Amino acid sequence: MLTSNKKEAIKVVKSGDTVFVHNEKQFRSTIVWLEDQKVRRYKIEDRESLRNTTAEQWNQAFEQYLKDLDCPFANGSRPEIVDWLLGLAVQFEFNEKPESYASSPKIQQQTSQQSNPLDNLDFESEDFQVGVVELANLLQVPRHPDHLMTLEGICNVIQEKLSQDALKEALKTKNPGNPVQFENISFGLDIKSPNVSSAANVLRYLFIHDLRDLQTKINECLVCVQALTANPKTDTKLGKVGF
Amino acid sequence: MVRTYDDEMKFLERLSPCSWRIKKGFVPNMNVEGIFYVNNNLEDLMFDELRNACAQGLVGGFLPGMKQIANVAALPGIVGRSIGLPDVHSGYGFAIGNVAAFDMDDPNSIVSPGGVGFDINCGVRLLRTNLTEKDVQPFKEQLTQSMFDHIPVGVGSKGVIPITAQDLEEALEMGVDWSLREGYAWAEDKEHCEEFGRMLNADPSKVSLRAKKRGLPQLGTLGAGNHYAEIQVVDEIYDKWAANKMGIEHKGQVCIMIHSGSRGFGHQVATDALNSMDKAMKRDKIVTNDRQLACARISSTEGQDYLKGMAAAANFAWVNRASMTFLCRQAFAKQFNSTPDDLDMHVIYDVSHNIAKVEQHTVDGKLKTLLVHRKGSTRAFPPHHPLIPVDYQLTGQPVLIGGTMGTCSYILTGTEQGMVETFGSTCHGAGRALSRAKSRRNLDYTEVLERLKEQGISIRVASPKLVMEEAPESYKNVTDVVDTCHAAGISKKTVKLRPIAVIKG
Repeated sequence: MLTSNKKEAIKVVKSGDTVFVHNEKQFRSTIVWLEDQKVRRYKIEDRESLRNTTAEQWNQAFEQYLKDLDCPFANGSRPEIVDWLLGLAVQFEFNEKPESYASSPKIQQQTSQQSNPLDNLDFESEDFQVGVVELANLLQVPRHPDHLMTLEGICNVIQEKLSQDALKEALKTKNPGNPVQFENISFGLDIKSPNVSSAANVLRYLFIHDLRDLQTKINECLVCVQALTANPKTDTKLGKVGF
Repeated sequence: MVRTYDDEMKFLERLSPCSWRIKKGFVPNMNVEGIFYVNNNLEDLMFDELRNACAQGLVGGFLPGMKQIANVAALPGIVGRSIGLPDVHSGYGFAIGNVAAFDMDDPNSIVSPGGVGFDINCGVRLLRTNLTEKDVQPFKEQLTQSMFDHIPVGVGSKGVIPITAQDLEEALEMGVDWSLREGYAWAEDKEHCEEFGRMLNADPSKVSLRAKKRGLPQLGTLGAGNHYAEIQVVDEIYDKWAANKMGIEHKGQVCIMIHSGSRGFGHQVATDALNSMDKAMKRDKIVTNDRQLACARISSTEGQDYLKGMAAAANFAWVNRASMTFLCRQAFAKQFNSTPDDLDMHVIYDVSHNIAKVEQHTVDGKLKTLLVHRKGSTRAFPPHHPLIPVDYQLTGQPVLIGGTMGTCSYILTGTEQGMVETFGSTCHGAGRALSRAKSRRNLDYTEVLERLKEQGISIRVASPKLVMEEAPESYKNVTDVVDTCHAAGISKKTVKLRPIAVIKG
């Protein structure tokens, strides 16, 4: 099967086995094999110049081939090109019969073998449900009819308030912030029922909270990039006051 | 057609204690009605202007603001109303303080450089600090001098940030993102900028070489006219909760306001566009009431080129304000032997008050995509609008109103009513009451400077002989203007600031 070959092939390329990509003959025949068997970008009669692996113009034919494939690494190193071509081949192979890969029993087995003790828990057992309720009482998390939902809430509380990061953060910030005066805020929703209205307001507030988190992450990304690009300069000699 | 003042008054009708309607027929060909907002004091100014113009037979000089608002209502494709805000006064074609929106789906709709103004993306930026007036008072003079040394001011000023032609091209395309990349701005600055400090449709190739030549040395300079950088202190907090959201905690807190635009660059972009549009108007047979209302169809090459060039100029202005922010932070950090970070010198917000933008608004119950021209008018979007920063989702967009030299400034917030009535717009400042020439004739510069001194305001100015043009007497009273916007409900008073130091051109 191609995938296993491919894995092998990728392994070879990625392990930096330079013999493969620098052995011209092997390299060229691999390219031809990929085109003949998997990629099939050209019609059979048009593959002549590529198949002629001993010809002097082979490199030109190969460059043209990469161009025709819109390969983003056309100017890249050979390991990069081969890696990309292999990926392309896998994609074609998969697209031909996606159903045969839909549920590979092998893969499923593999994941369940990775021993996460939680995977063997019976989430529906009475024991487990009682445990969730106890935890919820302990942390004062309101109970949801679906105990798994309650568990999710418990997770959130622990992550945001009790995880090591959160505890450190709480010690750092001296300013406790101002409590939100919910009743004084216009949430811009015209809802008659007071219960529905306050639920909608809470949702809106949580949404803004999420948005703030997202914006903070964006800012963190920008700061990371700045570390690479920023180099502010000033030159007072250039300055001139106008009259 | 010359009518008497009494005849003209037949076309004007009071709508509410602080607004008047201009009916169709006030000038020929009006497609929609006009509206303007005034309180008693401002009303007198507006009607005096009309009375004088009628007496002179509407010849020569500028048209009165009301006539200009009405002429704009006669432009093709305009929807809703032509709106005059309380600080409205005569400008080139469009009055300054005029908002007009054109339907993007109407092929006849136009874009007009006169509706944006010559100083494209002129705007105001406010930085906060964690300093108090007491902290700053002993060093006020040094700090003013230091700001003056860092930020070059005046007509022909040149900036201290070295920049090549290639840098300029990139800055024009990227706006604040350029400042970020080069390290002149903080990530949080971008978040609190209108449009996130970058107009995405900017195309530097649509800008003349002449404009670029003028702009190149001017990046990071304040300019002249009514532009200034001020050290201000919080004088009054009207909405404590909203002020807290902006990081304004108490009276006496020190802020820095920067009022500047796109310098010679934007001026040249506007001039170039006016020339090319003259021809386009003849070709497309666009008729206007006033020659100064040169315009082109939005979809025409001239219209598109202007919008792309205008966006580049807008980006220039943001880079300019970002650069001056950088320089202010340096000046403060040096003086207080600290870092800008420790001084909490965050940008509260950055508004544009000379710009045209594509926005969605509800007109007659239908959602429409409009090109909104705001000339001497500030966007003021309400709470929960998707285009305002997350920090201000509950308060509404902060609106920064710069006063005149020596008078107070304000922070307002946008309201739902403003969204309905004025395409989410409000005033931009005091608005001129006397022309520059008249101010020079009537006022003496030494007196103006003396008075600032008496008020305890440090001042550094490049051309003292021009300060009377910017004296408070030359302007409408900014408090009247802001109170009118507040009373009309198109924006809400939040914070009042007063200056303790000014630098200007």
